[in-house]
Amino acid sequence: MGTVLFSTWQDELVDNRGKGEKDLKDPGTIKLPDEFMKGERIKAFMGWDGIVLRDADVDIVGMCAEYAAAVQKESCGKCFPCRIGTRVVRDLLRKIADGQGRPEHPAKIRELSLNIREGSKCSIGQTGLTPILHALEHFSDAFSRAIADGRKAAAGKYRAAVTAPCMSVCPSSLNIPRYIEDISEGKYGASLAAIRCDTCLPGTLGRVCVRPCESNCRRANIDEAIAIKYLKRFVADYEIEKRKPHHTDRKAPTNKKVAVIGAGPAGLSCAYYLGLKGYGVTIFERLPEPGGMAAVGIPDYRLPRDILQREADIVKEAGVEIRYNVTVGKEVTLTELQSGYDAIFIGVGAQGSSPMGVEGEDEGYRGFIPGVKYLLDINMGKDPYPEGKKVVVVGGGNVAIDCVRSSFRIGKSDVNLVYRRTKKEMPADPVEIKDAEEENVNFHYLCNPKRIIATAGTVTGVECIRMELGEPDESGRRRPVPVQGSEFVIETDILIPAIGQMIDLSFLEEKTGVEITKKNTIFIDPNTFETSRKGIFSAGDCVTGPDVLVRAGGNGRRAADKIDSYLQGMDPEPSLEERFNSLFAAIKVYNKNEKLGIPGGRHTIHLRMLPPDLRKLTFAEVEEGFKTNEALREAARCLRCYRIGMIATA
Amino acid sequence: MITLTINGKKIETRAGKTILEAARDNGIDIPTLCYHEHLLPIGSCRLCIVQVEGYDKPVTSCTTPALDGISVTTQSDALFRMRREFLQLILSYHPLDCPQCDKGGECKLQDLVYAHGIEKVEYAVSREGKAEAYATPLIRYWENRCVLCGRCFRACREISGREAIDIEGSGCDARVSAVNREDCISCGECISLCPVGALTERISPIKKRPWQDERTETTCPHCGFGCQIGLDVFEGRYISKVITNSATEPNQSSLCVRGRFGYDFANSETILRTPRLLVGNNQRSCDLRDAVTFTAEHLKKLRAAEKEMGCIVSPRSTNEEIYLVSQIAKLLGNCPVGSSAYYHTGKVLDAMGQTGLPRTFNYGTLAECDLVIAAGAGLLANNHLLANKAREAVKNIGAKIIVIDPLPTPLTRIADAWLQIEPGTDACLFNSISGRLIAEGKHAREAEELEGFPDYAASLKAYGKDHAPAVCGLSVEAFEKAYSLVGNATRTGVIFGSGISATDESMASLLNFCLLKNLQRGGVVMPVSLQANALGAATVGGGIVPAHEILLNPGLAGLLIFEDNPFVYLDGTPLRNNLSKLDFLALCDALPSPLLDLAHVVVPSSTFAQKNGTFISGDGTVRELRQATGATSRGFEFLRLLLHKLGGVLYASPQHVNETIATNGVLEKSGCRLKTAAGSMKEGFIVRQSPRTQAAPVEKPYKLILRDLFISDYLVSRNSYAKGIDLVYKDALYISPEDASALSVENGDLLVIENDLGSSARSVTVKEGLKKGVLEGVLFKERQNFLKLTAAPTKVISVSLTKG
Repeated sequence: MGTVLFSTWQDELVDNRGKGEKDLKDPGTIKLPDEFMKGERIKAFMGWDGIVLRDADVDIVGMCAEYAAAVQKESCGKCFPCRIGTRVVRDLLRKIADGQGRPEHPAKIRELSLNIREGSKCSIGQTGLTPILHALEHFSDAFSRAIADGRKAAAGKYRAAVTAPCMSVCPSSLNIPRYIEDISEGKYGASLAAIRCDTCLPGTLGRVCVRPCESNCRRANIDEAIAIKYLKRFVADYEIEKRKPHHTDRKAPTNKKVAVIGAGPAGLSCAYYLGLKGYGVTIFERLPEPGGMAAVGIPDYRLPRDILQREADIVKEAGVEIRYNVTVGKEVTLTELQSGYDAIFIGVGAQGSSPMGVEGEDEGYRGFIPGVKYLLDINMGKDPYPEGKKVVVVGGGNVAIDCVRSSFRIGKSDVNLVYRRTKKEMPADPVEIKDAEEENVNFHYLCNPKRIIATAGTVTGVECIRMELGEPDESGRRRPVPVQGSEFVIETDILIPAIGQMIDLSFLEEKTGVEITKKNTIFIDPNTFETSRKGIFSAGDCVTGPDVLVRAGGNGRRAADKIDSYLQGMDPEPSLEERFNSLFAAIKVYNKNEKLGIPGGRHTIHLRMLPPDLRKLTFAEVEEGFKTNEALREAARCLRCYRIGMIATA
Repeated sequence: MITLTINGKKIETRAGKTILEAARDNGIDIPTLCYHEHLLPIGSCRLCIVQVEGYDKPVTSCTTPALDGISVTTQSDALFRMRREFLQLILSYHPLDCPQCDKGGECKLQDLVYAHGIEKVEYAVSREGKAEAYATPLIRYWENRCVLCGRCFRACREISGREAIDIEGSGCDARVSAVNREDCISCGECISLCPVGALTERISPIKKRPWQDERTETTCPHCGFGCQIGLDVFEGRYISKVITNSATEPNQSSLCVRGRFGYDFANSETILRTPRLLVGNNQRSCDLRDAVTFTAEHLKKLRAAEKEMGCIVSPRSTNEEIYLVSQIAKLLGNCPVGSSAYYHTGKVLDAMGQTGLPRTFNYGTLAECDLVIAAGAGLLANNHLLANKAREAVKNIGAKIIVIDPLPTPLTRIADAWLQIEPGTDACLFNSISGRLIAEGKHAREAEELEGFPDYAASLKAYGKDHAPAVCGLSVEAFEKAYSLVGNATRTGVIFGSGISATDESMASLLNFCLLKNLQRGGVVMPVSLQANALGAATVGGGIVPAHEILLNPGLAGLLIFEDNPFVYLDGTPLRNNLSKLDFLALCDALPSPLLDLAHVVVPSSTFAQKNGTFISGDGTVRELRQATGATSRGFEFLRLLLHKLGGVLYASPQHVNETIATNGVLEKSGCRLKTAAGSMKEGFIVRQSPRTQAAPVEKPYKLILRDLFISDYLVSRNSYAKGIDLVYKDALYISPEDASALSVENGDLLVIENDLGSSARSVTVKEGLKKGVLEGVLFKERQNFLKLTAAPTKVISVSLTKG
């Protein structure tokens, strides 16, 4: 990071103008990257919380005029102060920047800006004038001189983009305030269309997303975060419930073809957006149904399979063909695909189970079933081991929870979960843990399996050892340490390891030249999603290792853009949007400590759930979506925290 | 209850209210421009900002909840300055054309600017581009007057359930534009809610200021919903505008296109002015007394000769007039009184009487129902407001909607289940649902105590589980979804229309279903009322017969027609033949109709705007007509004198008749409401020994469903006397895309529709959402083209089609 010359970011004044080397201060509130892209240096940044200058030669007057123009352009027109007021401010600033300013203008701009800031409906108006007010305060000379001299502002290179706290952390970059506002106005179709600009999985994400957006929701600063996930589900369900026609806006077909391996979130997303661009896309899927890990790893009571099926149907409407029951590496080889298609996208999931390192796990005992396989069998409608009634699942992640909760639903009577740390350290979604508790799963914390007990090749129990928490490890969680001599036995018919997933990359033939990392993932250039082999791209769990659905989907879409560039004969590179995403991620858009200065008191609405006794016996969906009135009310809570960031570059 | 302080005053309010609501409930005024009590808070004008103690920033009181213990300031110098600044911003491009603006004198912006002491315009901005003009034949948009408060497009969606207009563009260049012009139904909700003069009606030739008008509150004369409207009358003669009051029930500020734009027939120059007699072949004008004497003499003569006689009343006449006609009929040897009110309302009352279901209800109940079933009810040409009420239930409590209709209706787009059944299979559908409810024990236990339950339950055994989807032409999923919605609802509201009353069988099956769900207590059953006083026509005179039974009776010799034009709903050829043979036909009507040439005496009546009297609306409420222009109804005067001349009571005034009606047992004691049940009817099922489980045998391959059979005469007589309606309505024949391609016809092609009664060529329009084999016929001015295929008013006609 280069030294900052001047900053007002978040009311922390850093003024290094005219200071010696050793008196220089760095702002603690913002880390401004040096470069926007290779060869394009960031000279200044203007945004919702102030101004950050790096170069003295930035024309602050000119930049303010440009910033006001960006604010006015982004103003939605739905409130008076922002709609008209920012136009007046823009016009006045333009006059000054044009050398036509008058001495009374700065005061007028200041007065009006304060009113717009206090009175606007959303953050565009509430924050859009902050840097201008800061400039008027700290660079008043620059304004007076420009006015007095009638001097035109120096030309500069500016780039502006819109973000919001929620948007900035969404791995799929959904335009969240936009689709929530549409809901609050009853425009459910428009809302869904806005979501589909960035993901083809609204019904899926609306149910199972880990929702980083909600933990970056500014509403939480005054009461509670918006139920963004449920709102997404509402519009996705609305289209189905009300039989709304679905229109896919597809570009004219081209003659280029792309093969996609895996119909999981990454594959479907990549295929959908390529399809929309007019490419002929074929997905090769090992299983007889779409969804990949979303279908295999997530039980029906959380994500009914007809939802995934519907999303896949919409992907097909974009001109995508899905060939089920085709395993690449068996029925067709990667090399064969290379000769038949202009580009290939690999989006396979992490469907293998990691070994526990426990005595007996390689013996092939009846009753020893890896977690992902267990869920896959159940999702395919069969009980993996009907004779077994007692179940022990080992692990603390979502797969482990899915295994225990599904066990009741296929008629298992005694269901246990063994985890080596405590509930606090469990990586699974706390909501899911609570649901499992309500369904009467026996949780055994602070113990670990040591040995599988089997009789005549069949599991009869598992020997565990008690653990205690020692010093923190590299993940920051306290390391579990065995308590010597504390061994005990849990009787069981079925033992399910669910401590981690692995990726099977055996289909990658050596001659294709796709490089694999030490972690057994596919190596890609993170800027282009291209593997070490030209024309072969990849995203999803096979690149990141087991990760969340919303990231796989988002990267699938981004990869589609890169494949598009590649097929048009251009060098793939990150889009401006992606570059701004990185910039905003570095700057951090959400400030947990921000005082909003307004009262809250409008709490979020929770979904109705089937009662535990009833739901644990069926695969029927546990949560019932929002009713229309609830969605309207919840959406109206959104503060629409759009904000504009602008950089001056050289 | 929670307590908060506003401007130092402690007030109590219900949790969940906003600061603005709490303030208004307690008489504290906060300025607003975009807020409207029928819409969800918009928050665009920012004028309702208040300061909450302990918080830095002002907040809009329309969107901020009233919280326990907070202290709120609504007036301060700072707040005043901000409000003033925001108003200044609006004036930066809002023209100061108040003298020419329609809204001058009743404009919220005008009031606010004045109240904030703004004397000069501070800012000027230029707007780039120009909106594509949002304009319909009835509505005009003035883009620079528009402050973009958002009420219009919110109302379009929230209240009217349409998506015709929206905001487009960004920043200062944003404008309201017609994003989906075809979706506009000209209901005028947007005009009604526009706080400034940005949306104006464009048909009234009379321009004047509110203080030049006299405003009379009265009841809309079109359908039977009972909307309350205000007539602005200029110089005591011309209605210049229809306005609504957002606090008046049952319609608040809403109306349909007919209510808002279909008033000017009352201003028509062609209104009948003098009585005329036909003596020999010569017509001559006379005064009212001569006309009364002439009529009485002829009627007495026919009575003495024991000839067959009859009377016809309009279901849009007042109770008082209808009552007088019934008394005249008594003196004419108890001759029958016929009305087109019979075809729907008369039949509905008979059937409801058999079941003991209440025939009065409260529209507001619908907003409390978590399931609304709308069966065979178009809810657009009439009872548009019922659809609004259903939407309100969705918006406020998340109600689910089931539409049962072969044709798309305004509610199908928000329906959770649309059972698009084959026409005529309603009975099978309801019986199947009822049978299954009983089989699965999901009916109300109370229903078992009602008369006829065992037989009714037994008769439903004939319906198997998969019966309905197969017979009614539904997907199993749609049926199952509807069935589960019915089973899960805690409070169900049923709206039904002429699609259901079309056959006794379907009505019985629906009413039985309502009993089975105990809706008379745990829900509501709402038959629509097609005409403004259909309920009055069917009850106050002691009962009516179908109009055609009189009008087409070959033995008929003498006839009195009061304000009705049967050419609107009957085939004209046999009608004209029969009426031209009459010995004597007396006609009393306000505007010319084809009957003018057939009558022996014509006496002018008056339109709704000139009458005092009452209607009974669909909910059973007695609503008033108040004279807004001209003298008291000449029609009433004629009937009053005629009754006396024939030997009856001489009533002094409508009020006098009204008092008589109030004591004759039809109304509740208060006189404000129809009695809930006729006589002392017990609740019970209508049991049919062997209900039909299959669809009626097909006669012809296509089913033509007729819309708007009972439109107000004055909209479609000789001419349409309401200019606005004439601009937006047209006759239409719609065909499904499937049938269109099978017959290889396109929009505008001629199709010959034919049945045993006749044939008619019509140009056709292809309509998405229509079911294969179903045609939709919208009847307007060229209605005889359709009516010639019917012997009596019929909802569904079997026809064959050939390309013309």
